[in-house]
Amino acid sequence: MYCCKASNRRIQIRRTFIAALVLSSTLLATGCATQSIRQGQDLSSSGVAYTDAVDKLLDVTTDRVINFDSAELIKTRRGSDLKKMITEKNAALQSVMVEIGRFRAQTRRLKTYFVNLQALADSPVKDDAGGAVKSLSDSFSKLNKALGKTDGKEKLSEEQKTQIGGLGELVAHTIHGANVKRALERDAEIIGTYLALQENQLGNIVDMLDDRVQNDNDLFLNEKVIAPYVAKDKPLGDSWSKDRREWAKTQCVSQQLKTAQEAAKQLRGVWADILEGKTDINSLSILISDVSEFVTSVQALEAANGAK
Amino acid sequence: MTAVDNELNQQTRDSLRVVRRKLYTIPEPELSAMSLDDQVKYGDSLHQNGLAILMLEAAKLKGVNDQFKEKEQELSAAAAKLESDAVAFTDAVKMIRVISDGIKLVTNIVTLLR
Repeated sequence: MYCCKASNRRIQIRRTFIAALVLSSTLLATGCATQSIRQGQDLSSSGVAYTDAVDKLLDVTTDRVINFDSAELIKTRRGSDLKKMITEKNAALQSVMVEIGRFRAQTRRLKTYFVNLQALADSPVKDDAGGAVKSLSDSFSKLNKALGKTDGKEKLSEEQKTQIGGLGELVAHTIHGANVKRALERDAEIIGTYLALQENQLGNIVDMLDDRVQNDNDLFLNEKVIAPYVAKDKPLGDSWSKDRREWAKTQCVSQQLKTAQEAAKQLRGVWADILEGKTDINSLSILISDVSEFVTSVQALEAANGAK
Repeated sequence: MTAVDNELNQQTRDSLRVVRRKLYTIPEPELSAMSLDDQVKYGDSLHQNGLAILMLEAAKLKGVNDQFKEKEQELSAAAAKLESDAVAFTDAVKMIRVISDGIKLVTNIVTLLR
C-alpha cells in the first residue's frame, strides 16, 4: 500500500531525527556528572511521554470499543428480547471498561514514578534519599503482588522472569548519579516486573483495538464499497469513489497497529538500557513515536467515520 | 494464568471474531428480505457472539478467572466448531441457522463467567 510506505518513510525519518537529536545532546554534554543528569532527564521525560502515549491509546480504545458496541446493538435490534440484550451488553461493556480503567490507573502510577525520578535526578542535594520514589516503589511492589499473585511474576513467561532477574546487576556498572543509582538499584526488579506485566496487558488492549478496527473496515467495505457496486440495477452514488478511497487508506492503520504492538514488546529492553545507563535511550522515543503515530491514525479514522 | 490458558483464550476469541465478521458480511437488503424468524435468529446470534467476545476480553484483562480456566478447553472446542461451520456455509440463511444452534453452547459456558 502506497500510504503504508509513506508512513514507514515518515517513521524512518523521525527515528533518524530522534537518533540525531539524542546523539547531539550526548556530544554537547561534558563530563560524567553532566551526562548523568542528562540521562536522568531523558529517562524521566521519555517515561512521562510513554505513559502519556499509553493514556491516549486507552482513550482511543475506550471510544472505539464503545462505539463499535453501540453499532452492533443497532444491528442486533432484530433479536427476540431487546431489553435483555441491552442489559447484558451494558454489563459486559462495563466489565471491560472497569479493567481498562484499572490499567489506566496503573499507567498513571508509572508516570508518577518517572516524574519523581526526574525530581531525584534534578535534586541539588547529593544524598537525597528520594522518599517519594521509595514510596512509589513500595506501591508498585504491592501492585505487582496483586497483579501476579505472590511476588508478581507468576503471570510472566520464563524469558521475562530471566531478564528481570538480571536487572539489578546492570545498575552496578553504570555512571548514574549516586542518588539515581541507589533508586534504580532498589527498583530494578520491581519496575522491570511491572513493565513486563504492562507489556502483556498492552498486548491485550491492542488486540481488542485491532479487532474493532478490522471489523469496522470490513463493514465499511461491505456496505459502502461492495454492496453498491454489485447492485447493478441502482446507479452508483457520488460518494462511492470517495468511500472506496477512504477504505483503501485505512488499511494502513492495521499495519501501524502491528508496529505499535511490536514496539510495546521492547519495554523491558528499554528499561534494561536505562538501568545500564546507556546514553542512547532513543529506543523509548521510538516506542512513543510508534504508539503516538498509531493513536493519531485511529483518531483521524474516527473523525473521518464521524463525518460520514 | 499460564501461557496455555492465554493461548486458549486467544483462540476462542479469534474463532468468535471470525464468526462475527462472517455475520457482518450479509448485506442489509439480503437480511431484510429473509423471513422474520431468520432475522430474529440473526439478531440473537450476533448479540450472543458479541457478548461472549466482550466477556472473554474482560476475563482476559482481569487475568485470573478459575471458572473460566475449568471450562476453557470446552469453550475453545465449541468456538472452533462454530467457526468451521460458519466458514463451510456460503448460504446466508443456512449459516445463520447453524450459528444460531452452535452459539447456544458457547453462551452456556460463557454464562458461567457472570
